Parts: sequence; structure tokens; C-alpha cells
Amino acid sequence: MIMKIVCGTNHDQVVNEKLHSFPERIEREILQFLSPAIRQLLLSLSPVTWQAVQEIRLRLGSPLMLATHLGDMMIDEKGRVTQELDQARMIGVEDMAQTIEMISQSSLYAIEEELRQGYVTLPGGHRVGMVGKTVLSERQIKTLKHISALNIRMSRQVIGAANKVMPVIIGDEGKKLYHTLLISPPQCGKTTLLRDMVRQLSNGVEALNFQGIKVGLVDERSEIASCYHGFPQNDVGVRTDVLDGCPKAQGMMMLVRSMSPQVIATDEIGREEDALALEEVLNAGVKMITTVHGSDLDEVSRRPVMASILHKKIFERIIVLGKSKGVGTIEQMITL
Amino acid sequence: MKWMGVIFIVLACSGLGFLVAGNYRKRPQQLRQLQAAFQMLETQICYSATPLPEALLYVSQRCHLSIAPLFKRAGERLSSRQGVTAYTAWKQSLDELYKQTALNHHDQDILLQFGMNLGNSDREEQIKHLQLLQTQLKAEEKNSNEERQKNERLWKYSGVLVGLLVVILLV
Repeated sequence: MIMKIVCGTNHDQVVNEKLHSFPERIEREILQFLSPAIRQLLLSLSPVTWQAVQEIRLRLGSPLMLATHLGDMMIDEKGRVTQELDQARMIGVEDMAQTIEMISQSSLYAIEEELRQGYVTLPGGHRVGMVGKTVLSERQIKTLKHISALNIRMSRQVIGAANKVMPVIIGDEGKKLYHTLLISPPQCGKTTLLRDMVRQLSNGVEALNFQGIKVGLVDERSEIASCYHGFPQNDVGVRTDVLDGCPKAQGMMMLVRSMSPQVIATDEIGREEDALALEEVLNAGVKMITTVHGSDLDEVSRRPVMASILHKKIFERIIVLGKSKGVGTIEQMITL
Repeated sequence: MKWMGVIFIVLACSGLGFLVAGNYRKRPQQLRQLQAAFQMLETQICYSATPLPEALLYVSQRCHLSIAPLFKRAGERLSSRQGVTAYTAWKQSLDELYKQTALNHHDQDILLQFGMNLGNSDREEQIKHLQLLQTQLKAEEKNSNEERQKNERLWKYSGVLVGLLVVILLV
């Protein structure tokens, strides 16, 4: 039986409440890693503008751009938002070199491993993705050099983002947790929602009479807990064990063997080995919460790997995110 | 009164001579101390992958006092997050402080050259740059020892002798 609850709620209000200190946080956590010239430009943006910003993009020879959920914004020489390409502040070699020095603390050798992965995590959990010329050694990526573009993705933890979801994935008066799959297009708050679900499961939910349980978190791309030097930068709860930067499939099995989790959370499954690991996890009697890219259930079930997972009726709850009413809108909650 | 002047002139001239001679004596020492310091920096960079600001400060606390400010100033400037690159910080520190050391222009050039590659490549390449620097410093140390043997005594004696000469001419 498929029961559909369509609810057009979003967590924007929660976002607004939680972000009143956002500009200072941005200054402390992000702007200090940019070259002084760009930092100065961005300091003049209003807090309202900052709330919309999801990414700061620096590309050599292209305009300084801020990506928001409403579209891209360019910044002119005086730090004002503009849509005119010829007025926009262009990113020069100097800007790029200084920014990279700031991000790496002038020590590229210290972030070798991160360069190989293509991103660096900043304190505060924000991620800087980078591209450039890859240096290969025996067909493996050895490092990146001549970095030509940076993408600073702002991580914003929204405490309470999962409030609407928790009653759906917890049943039997707080005694049962359902296997849950989140379906979401990129940049619709998927990771934010997952992070808050993890936090609430780990801490317990008093309103639902749910006791906190042991959570194993496989954070392959350091997005959920965003560990910096081993410390989670986001609150993921008191009973959460984070396996940082580990491939999902291996990580899930490692956790089952080593940390005896009651639920395993991970982001973006979809490869064949993920499906195998998933079964292993289920056989061990561990609950599973995970996400997948896609705009709805139909689209997801057209992919062979996902189809076989869905066919086995593993997941009991499916939550579809979108942005019809702002980022993080819960479009559908499906009970299978 | 006359004797006071005589003593003053002799002391001044020989003092000057000793000063120059002292530089000839200190240069090989400081070049050796630099090698030890860069050895420490290499360990910090290659084995513990310590970020450069910390690594420089670490070295400054452990290397010989005569060259420690060089590392300290550069490390502090990098920690301040004012957008200075490692090269600029290193160059500024070198420009400000090399006059207080016994190093000459040639040594400064070698250190500047090295600064261009400081921090901006992976470990393997950092090791190469550091090893090149060590070889250069070693060669300079050898040179400076030879120069010392030639010049140290020369300057000491000639300082005193020039002082005496001036006195004789004036009296």
C-alpha cells in the first residue's frame, strides 16, 4: 500500500531564525580565507544577500560570482550586486594565488591528500572544491596544479530542519525506526535534512518518546559532519560515530563490524557496491538512512541499481525534497 | 688630553677591524646554523606536514638565536592572515633582518630563490627544493671558511695598524 502525504512545508522560517548571526560567522569562517581584495568587496554585502548565497565561485579570468537559489549574482568593483558582465569584478591571477595561499595556509604540501580528492574542508564545515591541471602518476591522480577555479560551498546547519520528518520515520510510539530514503535534486537541502535527522536520532526525540540510539555516519565527502582535523564541525549528536572521508560501501561494512551502530546514515548511494553493502547492513539488523539524487520516485526507480534496491522493498519511508516553496521544501512523504 | 685622543683613535680603528673580522668568523657559523634550521623545516614539512606558519615558528624556537628572527618574523607574518604569500613574507623578513646577520648578498639571493618555492608544491618537490638549498648553503659555508682564513686576521691586524699609522701621522 502506498500512502502519500503531500505537504508543502519548508524550513525557511527555521533558517531565518537560526541565521541571525550568519554574517559574522561568514566573516570568521569564510571571508578570512579569501584574498584581501575580494574579502573587502564581499564585506559590503548585506546580511539579506548573504542568506541567499549558497556558493562563492572564483574562476580565473571570469567574474566573481555568488550562486544563490535564485540564480547567479555578480559583484562589481565597489562590492555591489550587478547583472552586467562588463561591470563585474574579474578574478585575476593574484586573487587566485592569494586565496589558495590562505586556504592552504601557504602549505600546499599539507593538503596533498585533499587536493587529490579535489576539495578541502574549512573550519566551520564549508567545502572548497577546486579544479586545475591534474598531475598523474601511474594513471592515478597525484595532485592538482595550476588551480583555475574554486567553489566555496557554504555549509549551514539548520537545527530543527528534520522536525517535520521525524514523526514519519519513527513509529510505534518511539520504539521503531523505519529504513528511510531521501530523494532530492542537488541543492535542495538534502544534506542539511540528513544531518539534522542524524542529530535527532542520536540525541533522541523527547516529543516522540524516542530514546537516542547509536548512529554510524559514513561521511564520504565530509559534507555531513564536516570534520576539520578530526572534529565534527556540525552538531551530529552525542551518539554518532563519524567515519570521515571513507568510501560508502567499505565504510558501511566497517561500521557494522567495528562500532555496532543501530542505524547507519550515509549520503548519495547509487553504485552497485553500495547496493551490496546495503544488504549486508540490513542482514546485520541495522537500520539505514540514506539519500539519492533525483527529482521523484519514478525517476529514481528508472536507474537499474536503484530499481533493484527499491524492488526489494527495503525502504519503508521515502521523502522527496524540492524547492517549490524555497530550498528544503518537503514535497512528498511516501509510506511503503 | 693628547694621549686620550691617541688611545681613542687606536681603539676605534682596531674596533672597526675586529668588527669586520667578526663577520668573517660568524658567517660560516650562521650558514651552518641555517642548514640545521632548514633540516628541521624539512622534517616539519615532509614528515608531519605541519602548515608553514606553524612550521616556521617551530623552527624559530629551536634554531640558533642569531638566525631565529628570520623564521619568527616570516611565521608571524603568515599567521596574521593579511593575504601575504609565503614568498612575500619570507622576502620581507629577509630584507628587514639580513643586515643583523653576518650573511652577505650572495646568501640572501640563495635564500630568496628558495623562498619562491616555499610551500607552493607537494612534499616531494618541497624536499627537492630544500635539498638544493642545503647543497648551496654547504658550498657557501666552504667558501666562507676559506675567506675567513684569508681575511679574519688581516682585518684584525690592519685595524690596529691603521690606528697606529693615523696616530703617527698626526703626532
